[in-house]
Amino acid sequence: MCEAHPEIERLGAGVVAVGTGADFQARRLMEQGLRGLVVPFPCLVDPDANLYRVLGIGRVGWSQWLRPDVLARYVRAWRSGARPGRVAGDAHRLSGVAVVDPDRRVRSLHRSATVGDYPPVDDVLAVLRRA
Amino acid sequence: MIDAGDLLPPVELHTATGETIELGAFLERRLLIVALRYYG
Repeated sequence: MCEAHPEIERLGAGVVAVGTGADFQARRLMEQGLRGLVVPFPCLVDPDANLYRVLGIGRVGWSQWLRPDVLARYVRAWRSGARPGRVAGDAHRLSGVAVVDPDRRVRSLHRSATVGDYPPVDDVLAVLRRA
Repeated sequence: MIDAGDLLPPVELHTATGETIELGAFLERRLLIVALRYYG
């Protein structure tokens, strides 16, 4: 999402990341970045999973890690240089992506079905391009 | 739990410096919320 941030801004939208981890990890992403890429938008922390409950983003068991599609994503991420750091949040928590209008109306919502199930960036940009 | 088309209720989160903040503070324009599994 960092790479797409200029286009997202051009489309008139802002971005926030939310994680269940520790605030020092969020600060590090915003100040030092990851693999040379400083996160250009706010990284917030949700230790009580308030947002996850509201959006209906659930949790999974360790068995999900053995799914072939999950392993394939993990290998792909590893080959691209991603290295998981210390898990300070809820490792069982799934992810999600939402687009919310200024009047708080949820325009789109993607709840991941399993680990690493993020929508393609192009799909997210398509939602933002719609008036 | 809400769905697309619903209104997002107030959600309290924390900033990276530990302050409590309501997500609506970022809604001066359309907002893309990326809920990650965790920060690692």
